[in-house]
Amino acid sequence: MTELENKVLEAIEQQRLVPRPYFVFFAKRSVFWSLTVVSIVLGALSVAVLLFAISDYYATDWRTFDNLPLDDLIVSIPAIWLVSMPLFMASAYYGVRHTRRGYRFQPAAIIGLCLAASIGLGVLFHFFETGRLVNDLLAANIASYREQTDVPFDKWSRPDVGFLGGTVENVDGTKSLRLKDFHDKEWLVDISGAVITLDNAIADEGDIAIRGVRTGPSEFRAQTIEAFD
Amino acid sequence: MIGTDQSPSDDGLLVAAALRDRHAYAALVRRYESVLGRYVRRLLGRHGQSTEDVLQDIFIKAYVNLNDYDRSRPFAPWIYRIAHNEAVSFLRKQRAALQTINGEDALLILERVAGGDNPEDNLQNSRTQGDVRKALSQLDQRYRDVLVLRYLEEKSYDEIADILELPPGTVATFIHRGLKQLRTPLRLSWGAA
Repeated sequence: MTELENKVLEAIEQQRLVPRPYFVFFAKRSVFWSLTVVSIVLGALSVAVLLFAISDYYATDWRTFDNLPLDDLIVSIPAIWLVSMPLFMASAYYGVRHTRRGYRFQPAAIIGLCLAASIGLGVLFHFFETGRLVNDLLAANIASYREQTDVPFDKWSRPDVGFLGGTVENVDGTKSLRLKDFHDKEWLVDISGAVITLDNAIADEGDIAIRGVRTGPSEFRAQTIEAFD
Repeated sequence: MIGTDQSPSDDGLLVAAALRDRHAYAALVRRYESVLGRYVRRLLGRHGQSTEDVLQDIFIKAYVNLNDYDRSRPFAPWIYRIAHNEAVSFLRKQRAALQTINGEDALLILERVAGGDNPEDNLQNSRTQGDVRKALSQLDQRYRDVLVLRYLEEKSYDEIADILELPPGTVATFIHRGLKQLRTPLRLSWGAA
């Protein structure tokens, strides 16, 4: 036995060292894999909200994707989600890099694959309206998010240019209704000349989207009424 | 390292060592003591007298982390990686830089590199250790690391990738750039002579 062997075995015995169990390393690696998966899913949600924001912007203004001026496109994208994408990709890269064989891949390949996965999953989410769900949830509950984003609550909070959205409080026959908008302001809406496209009765609809003309500080004349979703 | 008929393979020893068979682990220590000792001595440079202590830390650390070793990969790069990290950590504590190459090693690298060069590039002609050491001292650390592993430790690109935790493509790039960076000042100094 060499001197080093003796020293190593002696140290192992004296310090009562044993190999750490496999699950400790497995748990550590799982943390990094989880970070990667969560980052990719968050990136996918960003993509889904971005797609929703763009589609909503054009749908709101009665425009189609054939008519896509670049400046309008840029305005329609919520910056908060655009900025968050690189952060999610950076954390996905960090996660993969710290897995067992993550170092063997080029950084560009890792980031490219994570980005592709996020975009693919984001498009899938978009078809299932996950972007709308996330956006509505955040906009309904976080005021600062609502201020930072331009979809779709804010789209329907522009009575001066003919868009008013909110919750129906009560309905006076076919003449008018009282509506609380997304900033909790009360409106009296003249619905006598409106084309109403709803599956349910107005009173049962909850949130509605009205196109029309503002006629006073808290008055609005509706031309069309649709479900908010 | 594959075992011969008389000696068990690394894998066999590792499985036994992970089950707390200290004699199996002692056999692994014996097997890698010499090659790792040489590598660590190169990394420590003028702190070479601490090689034994660093080696002891390496084998203790490897023992504690045995279950982290990926059995689908060769064992040698894994323990070389621990050795590299321990040596770097030791030098950091000493506030010293990695040495990696002395004059003799430097000439050895160049001799081995020259094997694949053109005849007019034969690097064994009238070159002094001084020129070579100077050229090597100007090399980036990352290039020195890969050149040492490639030409002194004679590791494959794949093994170097595992040891330094780099993509294999990056290892190839570093070796290419390192050799280029090494040759340029040597050509200048010998051209001027």
